[in-house]
Amino acid sequence: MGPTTKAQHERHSILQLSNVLNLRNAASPFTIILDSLHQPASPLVAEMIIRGLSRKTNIVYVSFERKFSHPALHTIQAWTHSSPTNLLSAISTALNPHPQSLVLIDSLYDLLVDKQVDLNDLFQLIAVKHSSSIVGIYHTELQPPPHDAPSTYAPTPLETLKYTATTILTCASFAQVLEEKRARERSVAVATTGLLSEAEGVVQPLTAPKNTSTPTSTDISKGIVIHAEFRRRSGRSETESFFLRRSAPTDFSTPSGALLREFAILLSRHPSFQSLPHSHSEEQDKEQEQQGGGSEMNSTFKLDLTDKQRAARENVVLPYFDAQREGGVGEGGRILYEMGWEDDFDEEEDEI
Amino acid sequence: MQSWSLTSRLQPLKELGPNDVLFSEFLVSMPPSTRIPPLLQPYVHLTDHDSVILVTSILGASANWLLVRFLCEALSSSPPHQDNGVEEDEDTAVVLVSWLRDWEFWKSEARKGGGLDLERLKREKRFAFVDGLTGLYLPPEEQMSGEQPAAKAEPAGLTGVAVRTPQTILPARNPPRDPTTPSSPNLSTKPPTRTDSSTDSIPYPSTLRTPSLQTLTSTLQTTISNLSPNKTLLILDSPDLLLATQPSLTPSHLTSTFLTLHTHTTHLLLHLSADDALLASSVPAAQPLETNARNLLVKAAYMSSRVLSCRALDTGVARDVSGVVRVTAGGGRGVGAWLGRERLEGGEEEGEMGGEFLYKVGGDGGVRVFERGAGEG
Repeated sequence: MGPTTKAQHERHSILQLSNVLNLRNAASPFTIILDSLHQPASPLVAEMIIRGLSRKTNIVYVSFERKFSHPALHTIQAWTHSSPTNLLSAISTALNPHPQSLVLIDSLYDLLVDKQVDLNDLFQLIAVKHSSSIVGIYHTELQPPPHDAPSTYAPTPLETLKYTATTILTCASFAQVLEEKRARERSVAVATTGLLSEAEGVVQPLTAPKNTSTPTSTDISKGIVIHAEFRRRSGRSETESFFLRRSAPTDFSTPSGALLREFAILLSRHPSFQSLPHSHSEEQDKEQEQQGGGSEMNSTFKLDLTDKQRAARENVVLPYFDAQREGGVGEGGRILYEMGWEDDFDEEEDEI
Repeated sequence: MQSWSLTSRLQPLKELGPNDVLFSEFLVSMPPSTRIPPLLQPYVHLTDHDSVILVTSILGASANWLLVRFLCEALSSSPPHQDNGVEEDEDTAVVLVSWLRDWEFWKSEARKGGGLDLERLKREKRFAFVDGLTGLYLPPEEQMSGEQPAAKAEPAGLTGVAVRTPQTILPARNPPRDPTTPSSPNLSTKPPTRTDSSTDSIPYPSTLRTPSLQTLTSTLQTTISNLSPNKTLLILDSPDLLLATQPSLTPSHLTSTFLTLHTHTTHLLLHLSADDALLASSVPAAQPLETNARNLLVKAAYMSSRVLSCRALDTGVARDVSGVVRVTAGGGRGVGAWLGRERLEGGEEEGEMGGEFLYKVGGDGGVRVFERGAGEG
């Protein structure tokens, strides 16, 4: 039984995301986060860490991109480990004393492609043996090296990951989502930005483009858009887009540190996302109501008539009425035709 | 409008030769900190916590001027007078490793653009240069064996301009050597003598002799430990060259090395090239080098907390604009650092980072940075 009404669906979706973010009920043992330079995953990861720490979860941070992390996390400097077995044993020792933990992997690409860690071994160790969850980040811009593929037909690491993951969270920049929506509303092509699709030499797109309207730009830096795909045990998947703002200390209760209320919302419920397409038509409706005439178009031309003009227009006799009148201008429907110079008049055939 | 009248007023001055000289001397005597354009200042500033910064450039828009600005920012933090010999702990030291440009280039560029005397800073142990260009792929010839006596003969008090002279005299002083002299003893004996000279009062630029990453790491470790201050900025200029010269290297090897080096320093600045020709995949199948260059750039962008990319003006060549510099936040700060700050201040520090500016590098090495449309008419 799925949710039947819209409100039920909304509550259901937010609960699902909340379960994944809060690592509740082993909702998703293997979550992958797909990010791009448009919207790096760090705000989302930080949010998960904050929530994990608030629930006193042991967090193991397998780092390929940072030299240090936070004292509250158990950081494994994965770039120093040479072999996959080394790395796995390091993870294992980090997991050992705790009943449940969260393993965050900085870059799944490095783990799978470069360090050649077997995904099955990793899953066996973390999810099965320690009943913990894995959250891995995969940067979508990274290309697998062509010579490393065992066979031409073997799936890329990303495809394998997408196939095995229980939840896929794709990060998107809120500013860009708004921009895309605006373009779609006007049926124009969305401007592509970023590495190799903008001007030469551009590495990262600007997060807040200059030409966007100012009221939205304040929200932009404060949250990210997550396109989520939840896979159920049955194999059915559900997709939804969310907006996750940055958490503030007021979101957590002071003594225990527990999250007071889930603040992730559906993207479609975000005020600036909502107001974007409807703002024009709503305003127009209001204007029309004020003017009193529902049929008038809103344009810069003056299309209505004064009374004098209307009377003059009604007095005009249209030619087909005129033609029906006997003895009028048209003499009762006689064809009026003037010969041109190229007409070859044949008296015997045609008679006017 | 105003600029017009200004230039016309300057016109008669320019006709006088000596005035030009005076003006440039005035520029050199300007403190290096004033060489940083105000708009750029927040992005060149080195944060208190450790960070990785990525600077990218393309062929038509080089970022050397930007690296010099970083040098200015790092090296000008304390007054230049250190005659009392007491070093402050707050000083930042800089290690510059360059694979594409040599010592002479950086020396003149820093003097011209930044008003920095790198030779003096080197003596003060605040700056070190590691040469990745001349020693790696050129055959060790008489030039190198000749360089050694020149370095020894160099008096301690020589400043930037005078140092050039030994090299120009060099061929005359050294009669052409027998090129058949076995090069392997040269190779094995040279590095120790170099380290000897680097531990002297005048540390001479050390040179990388083998392209392996282990050599790079160990050379830099000793170089960094020789510098006195505890805050260091390590600048790696064009390490992506190694990808091309050593096909066995993967981007991950390089990024691991970067991180290892970063553990010895506080700040790490990477300068990579972002030309489409190096990054875009060929049509039927991507070449390994293209994939590697692209992956390295992407990884570096994710590692860094600030990305400054220089590119040419989108609308074509203009006389009063050299290029566009875009500043973005990179892959975000380290999650841990972000967490710490979030917990402490609940705040927003670098969240708003981002922007695009136009810049103009003048013939005298000075740089103007301005918003779009704010250039001189």
